[in-house]
Amino acid sequence: MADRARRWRARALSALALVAVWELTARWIHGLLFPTFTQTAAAFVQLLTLRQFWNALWVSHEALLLGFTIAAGLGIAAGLVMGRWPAADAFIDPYLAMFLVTPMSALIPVVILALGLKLLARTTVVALFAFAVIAVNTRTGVRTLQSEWLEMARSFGANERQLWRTIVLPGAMPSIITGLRLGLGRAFTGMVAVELLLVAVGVGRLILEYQGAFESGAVYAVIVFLVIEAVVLLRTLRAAERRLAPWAGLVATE
Amino acid sequence: MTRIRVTHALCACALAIASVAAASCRRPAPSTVRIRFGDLINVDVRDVPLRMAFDDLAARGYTVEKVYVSSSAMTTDLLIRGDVDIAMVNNQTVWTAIAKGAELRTVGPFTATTGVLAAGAAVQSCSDLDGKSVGAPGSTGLSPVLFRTYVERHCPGTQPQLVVMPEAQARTDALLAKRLDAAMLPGEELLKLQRGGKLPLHSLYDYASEFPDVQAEGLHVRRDWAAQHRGVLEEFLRAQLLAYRRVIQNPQVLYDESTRRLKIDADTAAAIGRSHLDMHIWDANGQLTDGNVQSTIDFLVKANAVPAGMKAAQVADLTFLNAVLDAIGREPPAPIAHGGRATP
Repeated sequence: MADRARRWRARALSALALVAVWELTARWIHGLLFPTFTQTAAAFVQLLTLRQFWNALWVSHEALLLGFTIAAGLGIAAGLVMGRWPAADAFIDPYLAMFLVTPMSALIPVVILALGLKLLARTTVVALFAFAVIAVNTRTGVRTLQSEWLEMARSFGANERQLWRTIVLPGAMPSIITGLRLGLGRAFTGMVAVELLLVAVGVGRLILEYQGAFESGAVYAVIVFLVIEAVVLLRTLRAAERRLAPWAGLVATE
Repeated sequence: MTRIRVTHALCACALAIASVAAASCRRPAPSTVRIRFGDLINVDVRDVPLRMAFDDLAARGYTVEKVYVSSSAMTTDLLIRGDVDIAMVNNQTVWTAIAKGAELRTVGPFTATTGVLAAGAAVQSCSDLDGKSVGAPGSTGLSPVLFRTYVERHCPGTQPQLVVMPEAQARTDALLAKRLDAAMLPGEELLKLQRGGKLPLHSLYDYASEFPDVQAEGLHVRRDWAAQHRGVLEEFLRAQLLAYRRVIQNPQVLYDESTRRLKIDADTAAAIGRSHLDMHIWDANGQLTDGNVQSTIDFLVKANAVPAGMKAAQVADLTFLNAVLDAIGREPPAPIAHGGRATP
């Protein structure tokens, strides 16, 4: 209990320090594009009352939701298959490696030109941003399963379906959720990148409009909202991980 | 005796130092003057005469440091913060910043805008734009305002779908891939596409002839910097206007300099240069007057692009430009580009 209180105190202090540094730096820089914390906070409150903001958020989140769902489905499936069967891994791995090292922003124009300027293209960009990291983490989760568990299950007569249900999926679950967490972060990046760099809709368009009008408090308010939303979603996934895989001790990384 | 010689020598030294100091007081010591010039990243033929002016300034001992930024808002912010001294930015952005309290002023011209609405074969007239997708650099700003005005003037009731794509290259690519039916592009970009012959593209309208008196872009400074560096600013504007006059009087200079500086082939350089010269985008007298600054403000106010009540004196200080024109003389005004229509 005391530990928890100490941790919260440390967090509050760190937040206060951040706010103080932000406020002082903005006052010192004195530019039109870098607002103070207080300006941002006021703009944030006002933003929440604007229908235009919620509409923009909905437009952006259509792509985020669809893209992330597709990336999660394909990424988990690919990761499981690659982790379980070396032949599949050999077949898919070079492309996955390419996905990992390719700067995704460079692919945005290609996707847009191939798929158009609407939801399909934006969804694909979000999915491309998130897919590889989910697949890699899922594969790692399957590969790091202890072979003794599988052998033991087989020796007790478990068939492939039972192996998946009782060992592979539960064992890989912590890594899958880690992949989803990392993938979600990337999906957010993809959503904003496509809207800022190529087709300005949703929150990206809002940010560009506020920037052009030097409403920097509003620009940062939108960004702060997205950061808060992403943090809440990531924490939700962490809570889901604790519930679905309480045995999780290992953390897979990108 | 020795003391007298030493005294004479000291006097001679003092005289020499004083005469050097006096000589340097007559003109500012340019070798110590650094001008930080903020500009957008896309350098094209429009920029060539200004680059020639930079060379002239360098030959006179000035150091012009170019700072390239990707957006007008960021360039304006750099100017406000003192990271650049003179910046080429679109007027609307700077005037919006002035309305928010920035101590900036428009002091000189850049060029008339060369923007066009490039369209494919399916769009031959304004009314053809109904329901068509049109690529725009932003949903606010001058280009969409001009576009809306064009539609209201020529085909009221027509409802094009505006697709905001901030990068000109992205709009070009989307137009070539037929993902857009029309797009707002720099005139040079369209000319290059037409010369490449990839798609039958044409200009539905160009801003310069449709809105001849709208001053889209200009040179801007901080007020305090301009007050402290009056001489430097006037030298800058003088070099700029003289370079503009050189290319107007001798287009071959423009073609050769464009080929050399932009690494484009001579035919393309000549085609773009000729087009720009035909549109009189470089004005020998700097094009800016209190009258056309005010009419641009009025136009932008009407389009809700800048706050109402703004006056030319609040955003522009043309005393530097006028002082330079007084010194180098004014040229007879050029005819209106393409026989353009009246200002809004």
